[in-house]
Amino acid sequence: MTDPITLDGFFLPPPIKVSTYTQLEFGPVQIRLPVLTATTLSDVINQLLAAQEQYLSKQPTMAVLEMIDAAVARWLKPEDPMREIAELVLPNITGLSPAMIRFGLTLILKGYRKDSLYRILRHELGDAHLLDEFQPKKENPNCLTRAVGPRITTNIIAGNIPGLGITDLIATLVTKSACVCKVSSHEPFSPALFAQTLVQIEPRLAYCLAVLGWSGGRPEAKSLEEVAFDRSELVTATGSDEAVTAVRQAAAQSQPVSGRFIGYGHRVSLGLIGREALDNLENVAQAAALDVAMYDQQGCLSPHLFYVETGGDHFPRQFAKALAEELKRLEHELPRGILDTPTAARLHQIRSVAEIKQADGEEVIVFGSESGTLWTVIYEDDPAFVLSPLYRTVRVKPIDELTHVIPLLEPWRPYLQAAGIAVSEPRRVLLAETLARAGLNRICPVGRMQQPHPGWPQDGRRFIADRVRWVDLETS
Amino acid sequence: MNRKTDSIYDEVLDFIGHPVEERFNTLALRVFSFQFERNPSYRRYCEAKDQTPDTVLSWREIPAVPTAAFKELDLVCDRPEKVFFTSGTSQGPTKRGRHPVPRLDIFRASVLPNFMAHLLPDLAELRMLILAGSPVLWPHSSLAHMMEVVRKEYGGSDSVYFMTDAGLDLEGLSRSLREVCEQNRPVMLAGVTLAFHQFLDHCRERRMAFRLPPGSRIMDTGGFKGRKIDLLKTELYRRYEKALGIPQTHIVNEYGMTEMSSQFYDNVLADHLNGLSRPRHKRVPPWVRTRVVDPETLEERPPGSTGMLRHYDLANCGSVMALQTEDLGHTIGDGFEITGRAMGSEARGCSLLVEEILRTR
Repeated sequence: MTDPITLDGFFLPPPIKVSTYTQLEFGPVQIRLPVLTATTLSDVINQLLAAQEQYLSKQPTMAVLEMIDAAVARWLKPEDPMREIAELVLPNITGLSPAMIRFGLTLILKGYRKDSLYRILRHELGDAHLLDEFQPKKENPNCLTRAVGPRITTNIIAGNIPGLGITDLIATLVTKSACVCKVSSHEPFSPALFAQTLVQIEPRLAYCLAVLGWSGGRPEAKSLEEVAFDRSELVTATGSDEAVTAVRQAAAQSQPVSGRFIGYGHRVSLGLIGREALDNLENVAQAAALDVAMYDQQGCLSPHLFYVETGGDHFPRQFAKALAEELKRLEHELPRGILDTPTAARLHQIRSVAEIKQADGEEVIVFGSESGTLWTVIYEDDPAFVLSPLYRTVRVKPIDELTHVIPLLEPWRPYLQAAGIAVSEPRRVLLAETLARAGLNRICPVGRMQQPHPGWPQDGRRFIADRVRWVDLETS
Repeated sequence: MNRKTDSIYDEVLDFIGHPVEERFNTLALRVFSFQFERNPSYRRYCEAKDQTPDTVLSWREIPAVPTAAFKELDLVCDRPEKVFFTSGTSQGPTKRGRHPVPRLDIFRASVLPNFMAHLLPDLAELRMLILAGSPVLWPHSSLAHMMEVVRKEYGGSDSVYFMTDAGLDLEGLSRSLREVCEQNRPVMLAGVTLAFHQFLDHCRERRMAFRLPPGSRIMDTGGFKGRKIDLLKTELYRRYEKALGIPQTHIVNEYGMTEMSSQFYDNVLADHLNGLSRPRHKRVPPWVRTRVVDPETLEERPPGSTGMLRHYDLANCGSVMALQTEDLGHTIGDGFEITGRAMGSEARGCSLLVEEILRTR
């Protein structure tokens, strides 16, 4: 796409109007965001609260799930106009390749169909109708109970993975909460587009949403945050540790003490390959390569490195080589996106340092794309857990026994998210128990790291249950 | 050291003393051959890249070593006379880079004329007030060594270091500046940007400002950590001007690194005295070449476009001449300007050293 185009990254419920806008530039794409005053934001919130009260709070949960499902279904159809816009625009905004956007959007959204959402509710609340009415409390015949979502939730969303912010909107709507969604300047587009999709399905539901932006940390943002946080029963924030900490502090100042805050900060993931899995070297390498390549390693579920067990029929370095070959293959299927100069320089530097260590005779082998920094696999015998500079740069380290990674993970405990594992079935549960105690929140097969089951415990939390409050009706 | 070794070192010394542009390529290739032969890790690195003295015909093709490799390997061609370390603690999470220097006379030879050309083009004889540690305080710092070389040669007997093991001596520096104003004798303030920062804050708190005698000048180095450098610099230089009365034409920024023997200085003072008016940029001394390359293709970037800075410093003949830095920049005229750092690079440089001192006070 070369012709310049301006698109709205915001969505405001009528009759709210703003007269000043700011634009974020992404090559030929400009994303327009409103410049809000505290008064306007206050009006927006009044509007949302009224819509929530008059419409959303009275809808049965199943009806809400149906509407969300209809919107998600449209985004899953390649020929749908909304989906087409997303596919056209998001590569410019995120730098990811069009093929990656296509694959990634489907991967994220397919987990939020009606059936999946229903199952999440059943699992997390025990009964999907607890958000509609009182239900008998198990183990207590004299008491009924129900769940009530916040009247309004503010979601501060991250921009590392395109489309991921939509899942925050979905979770909020499932709890029948109105939603102020503050977009990230890195991906300020898909939430507003999703809101536009909802308008076409049920405007009354869409008008429980406001999608907008402000620059966190700036003086003018303070008054907006005060308004939003003061009136939100729940504030969620996803982003860097610094960003989440800033929101947490601002929320603590503005929210009533009873207000809730959920923060999702920096997280890292890794892969563990058992010696027995190397029997299928090609398969396991192919699976691992997909985990590395997805979203160019920008997700909290992206592996920074793989520990590979020694003592099998294949050496860990053979896994590194096979992984490199698979990354090379993916270069065509799911090309890497475009990098800015500082990032590319960083990748180049890290690769050349490894190359010179290899030349010096250290136990280091570098496999890299022939041109540029498209992908890099660094095999090294130093077992330390080190972070990857991402963008398809991954280290492979031999380890004599998988459980020996536990002490290496200790310094990273607060940041651990997922482990992709490839081990035989008898070892799986035991290894998972160990990893769970080490701080990981999700353990899955290698190759599935970027395809979590819907409702997976991100940062160890529940998707819906952590957002609601409980009300008991005692009958005697 | 055998005769062959001495001969290449002496040739470099001779070139620095009498640079002839046409001879640079030949000498650079000779230095490359020498380093290829004497440094096994570097040799294997070049061989892996298939860039060896047999195939390399221009200094531009000499394989550049990433500066971060100085943390991992001893990159040296002879027994070092001195080893400089990058700042940071040996116990810290990051390893320290080490630059072994076999001949300090070459280091000195590259420091002096370059400093003279950019800080003292008017041949002024100035007292130096140094906002950095002496080699006694910072024994492993190449910056401290360089300052001492300059102080001994140009500084005069009343030049003083104001960094102590208790941090920057703010009172002492204020006293000296008052003296300077009373005596109306121009002075050179030289040091690390962070120390200047600290002194400017001190001045602001005490509502103190100096009007240093005309001809006074500043040499500052390091400390921007690569973020919004332009903005920070403009702001900082305005503060220098306000607190010390030194105009921007007399504020010369130095850019150097532990891994490199030569330095780069801003053009502003030399240009001002020559009646030239060009944008502020770093000048490249005749025994150094700097290329701006694309990190993806490693091709040279067109003038004005940002890329990675790659330096080829003949004065590094005893270690590695071709250095791939983590700095980003673009060419301007006969030089370049730094615009940032490779993302995620660890904080480094002299600034960390000072930060540690400031913190432990």
